[in-house]
Amino acid sequence: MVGEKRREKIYEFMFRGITLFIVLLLLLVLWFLLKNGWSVLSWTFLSSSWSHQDITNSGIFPAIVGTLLLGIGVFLFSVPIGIATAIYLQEYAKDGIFTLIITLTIRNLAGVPSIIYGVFGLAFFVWFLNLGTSLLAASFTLMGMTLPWIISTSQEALQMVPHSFREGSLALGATPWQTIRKVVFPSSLSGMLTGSILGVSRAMGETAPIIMVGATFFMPYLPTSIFDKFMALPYHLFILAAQHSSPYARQYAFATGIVLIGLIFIMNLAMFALRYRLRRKKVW
Amino acid sequence: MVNQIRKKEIKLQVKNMDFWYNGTQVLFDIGLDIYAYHITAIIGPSGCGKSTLLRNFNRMNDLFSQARMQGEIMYQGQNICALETNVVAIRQQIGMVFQKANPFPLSIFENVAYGLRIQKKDEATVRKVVQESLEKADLWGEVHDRLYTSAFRLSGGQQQRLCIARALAVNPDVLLLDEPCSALDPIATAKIEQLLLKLKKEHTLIIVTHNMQQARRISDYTCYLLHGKVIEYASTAEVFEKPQQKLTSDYINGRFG
Repeated sequence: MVGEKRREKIYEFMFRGITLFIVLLLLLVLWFLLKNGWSVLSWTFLSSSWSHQDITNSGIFPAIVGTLLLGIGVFLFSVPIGIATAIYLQEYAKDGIFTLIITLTIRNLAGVPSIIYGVFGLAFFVWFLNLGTSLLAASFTLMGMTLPWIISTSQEALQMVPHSFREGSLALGATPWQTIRKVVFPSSLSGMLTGSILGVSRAMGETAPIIMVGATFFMPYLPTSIFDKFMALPYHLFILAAQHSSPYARQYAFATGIVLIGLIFIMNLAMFALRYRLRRKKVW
Repeated sequence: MVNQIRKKEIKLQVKNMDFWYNGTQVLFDIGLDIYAYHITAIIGPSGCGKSTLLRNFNRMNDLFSQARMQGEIMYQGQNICALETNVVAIRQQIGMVFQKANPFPLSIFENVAYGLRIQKKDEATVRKVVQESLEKADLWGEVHDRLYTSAFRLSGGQQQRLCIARALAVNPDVLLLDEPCSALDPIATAKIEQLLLKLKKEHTLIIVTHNMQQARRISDYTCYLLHGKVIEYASTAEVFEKPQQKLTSDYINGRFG
C-alpha cells in the first residue's frame, strides 16, 4: 500500500514537472527578448516616429498606433459577426445537415493558413472591392482568422448558461429572442468577451497576411483614415530582424518584440480584470 | 352555490393525446378534464411520463426538437397541441414552476418583474404587481427590505416561492408545478403547500409529485399515470381510499414504485 502511495506521488510530481515546462517556455521567450532588446528600450523609442536612416534616435510610435488601430478594426468587425453566429448555432439552429455544414466550415476556416487569408484579402478586399492596401482591408482580412476562434469560444460561453434560465424565461411567455437578450446574452457576455479579446490579440501579432493588404514599413505620418496604410509592430520587427542593414537593427527588432508582447499582455490582463468583475456577479 | 358551479367548470380538456420523444411513444391516448380552481395532482413512478404530460400543457416540450405530439388539449376553445397555436400567448396564461428553483441571475425585484417587463408594462404597474405577487407568494415579509439583492442569496425554499411569485406576476390562469418541493426540506415544503391551497382560489393548479402524501394533503383530484397511460383519474379521496384499479392500490400502498 505504501508503494502505491509513493508511486502516486511520483506520477503527480512528473505531471507537475511537465506543466512547469510551460512556465519555463514563456520565461525563456521573455528572457531572450529582454536580454537582447532591453538596452535600447527608451521613451524616445516608444514615442518618436520612425526614421529609416537614424534608427538609434527614432522610434516605433506609428507602429504601436497602427497595431492598436488594427486591433480595434478587427474587434469591431469580427466580434459582432462571431457572437451573432454563435448565438444562431447555439440557440436557434436545429441539428441537421445545414448546421453540420456551418460547423464544418468554421472548423476549416480555423485551419486556413494566415498567408492564404493574406492573398485572399489582396484579391478580394484590396483589388475587387477596391479598398486599396489599407487599415480597412487589413481589418477585414484578419477577420477571417479571428472569427472561428470567437465563434467557438462564444458557443462555449453560451453552453455554460444553465438550461433552466432559458426554460424559466420561456415559461413566462418570453419569446426566444427576448430570452436571449435578457437572460442568455448577459449571462454569457464575460466568456464571449474573453474569447474575443484573445482572438483579436492573436490577430494583432500576425505578420504575413497584413504585409499584402495594408501594412507598410515606413510612413511619415499616422494613419488619418481607414483607407490609409499603416505601420505595424510585427512587420516592423520582421524588417528590422531580417531586412535592415544597420548594425543596430537586431537590437531594435528585439525591443519591438518586447513592446508587441507587452501590448498583448496588457490586453490579456485587462481582459482578466473585466472577466473577474463580471464573474463576481455570477453565483450559480 | 357558486362553488358548485365552479366545481363543474372544466379549464383544460385533454383528449386522445399521444406524445412521442425520439420516435418512442411516451404518452398514450391521454384523456383528462382539469377542473377550474382546484388542484389536480399527477402521480406515478419515475419515468411514467408525468412531467412530460405537464409540459404539454404549456408546450414546453417544444424545446426538444425530437418531440412530436398528437391529439387535443382544449383551452378556451383552442387546441394547445395544434401547430399554429401561439405558444408565447399560451405560456402567459399557463405558467410553470420547475422542480429545481430557477431564479434568473438578477435581483429579487427584477426576477418578479421579468414577465411584466416582457409585456412592456409601465414602471408604476411593475412596482405594484411585484409587491402584490411577492405578498401572494408569502415572501414579501421576508424580502421587502432587500428587493435589490441577488435572488441567489435566498434559501432554497425562498427561491422556489420567488419562482412562484414570478409566475404569478403575469397573472396566469393556470399554474403548472413540476415537483416543486422535491428539493426542499419539510418546513419549506409545508409553506409551499399552504401557499398552493391559497392560490387555488384564483388559479387552476396542476401539480406533478412523486410524494403521495403531498398529493393526498393538497389535491382535489388525482391522476395516476403508469407507463404513459392514465390508470385512474378521480377525486383524491376516491383514488386514495377506494381505488378502482388494482394497479393504483398497489402503487399508493407502496407495493411498488
